[in-house]
Amino acid sequence: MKTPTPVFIVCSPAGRVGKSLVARLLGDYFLISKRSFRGFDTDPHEPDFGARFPQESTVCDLATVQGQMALFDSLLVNDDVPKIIDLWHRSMDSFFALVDNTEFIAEAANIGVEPVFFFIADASTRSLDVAARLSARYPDLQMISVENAGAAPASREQLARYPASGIFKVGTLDPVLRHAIEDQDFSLSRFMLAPPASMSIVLRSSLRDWLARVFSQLRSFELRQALERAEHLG
Amino acid sequence: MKPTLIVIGADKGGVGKTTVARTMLNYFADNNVFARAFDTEFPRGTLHRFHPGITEVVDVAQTPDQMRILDTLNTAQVKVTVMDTRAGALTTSLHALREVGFLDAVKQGEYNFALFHILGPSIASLAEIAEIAPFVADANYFLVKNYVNDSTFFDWDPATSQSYFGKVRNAGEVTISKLNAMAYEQVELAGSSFSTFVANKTAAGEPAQHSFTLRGYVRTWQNRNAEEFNRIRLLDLVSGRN
Repeated sequence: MKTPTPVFIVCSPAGRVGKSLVARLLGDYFLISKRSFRGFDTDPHEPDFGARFPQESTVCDLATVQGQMALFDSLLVNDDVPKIIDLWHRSMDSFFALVDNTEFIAEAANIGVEPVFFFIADASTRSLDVAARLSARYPDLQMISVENAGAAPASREQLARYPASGIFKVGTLDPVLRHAIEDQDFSLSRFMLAPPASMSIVLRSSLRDWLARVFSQLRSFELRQALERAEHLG
Repeated sequence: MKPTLIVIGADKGGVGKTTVARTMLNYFADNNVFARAFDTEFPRGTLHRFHPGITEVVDVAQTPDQMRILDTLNTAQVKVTVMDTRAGALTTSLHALREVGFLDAVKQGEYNFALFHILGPSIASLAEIAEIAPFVADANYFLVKNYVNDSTFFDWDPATSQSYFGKVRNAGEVTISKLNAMAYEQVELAGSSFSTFVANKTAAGEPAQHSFTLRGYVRTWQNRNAEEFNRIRLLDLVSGRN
């Protein structure tokens, strides 16, 4: 059987919790492993994720039918190119209304496309409610709970309440480094493949460390998926 | 099973009669009810374009064509006949049906007869209701509010509309909701039925490349219409269960 093509839906009902960062990490993960991906940014006003990967991504305004078509029609292709959606919190409702009205989940299952949620957990009850509702409404989809200690700090008890088939931890970054990677021209994958010599060795090693921890989780997520799909012996 | 004649019409043009006829034909097909259709937009029928296999174009003003519709109601294998009357022809068609004794035969219980009267957004439509009302004492009369092409019914004063609607006893109401304009346009361009579009096929039955998003819009809209037809028990009506 052909491996399904993943569609990563990075979402949260809250703003500024690191959706674009997580989408970016996913994108750079595929780039450093010498694979391509297709990205979609549904924030038509400040498409941070879209602007970072102009080659790979499209900005889709879900308020227009053209934008809806640009997103949904491109997602439903089983071409082994992973898709990453940076779902703007203000377009979240219209996105899921479309998912339901177009029977997207059923169609995706039909053609071998596998949506996976990357839900950014935070300390608010609202986000927890939305996560619980999503996981109840789409029980067959995987929901990875993202613990982004830097932008969305929450206590261990709060995080434990989130429905999750897996956890993706993004550690805190030193403010200097955070500032450095926020630069529009700073590419994480390029940094991993060829660290700029102009950067201080201290910063370089701590960023490398941080990224290695992020990417190894994504790698193990992929491996686990592959193992689960593997035929059993005997 | 008694033969059924369903007349879809309005005396105003551009209120979406054919759209309602199309979605109804799809509904029958989805529920395994064989139906045939007559398009009175002589000589070039729009309904015929979307449902060529089951649609004949007729001129209701001509006796031979009236015979083609009515005389075959009993003999045809297909027991459900949908007639899409062209703009302005509803009253005359109903006159004709009365003249040839069809309405009396309905009264005798020989046929099922239902009238779907598509309402436009203006008061002219309400005046039509008063005109149509005398014909439909024994018919299943449905007033269809058709929002598919952006009609607004806001300019209906509640008191006026009440006085008109009050004239028609037992009239049912059907609402056809709005279909996304771009989706509607793509189906027009494809020249296929709504169901064929949703199934991602061309009019000729070949695989097509229609947008998933637009197909989703059409499917949701079709489902909503089917709910409306279920609600008024259209299937019971054509099978004579009441």
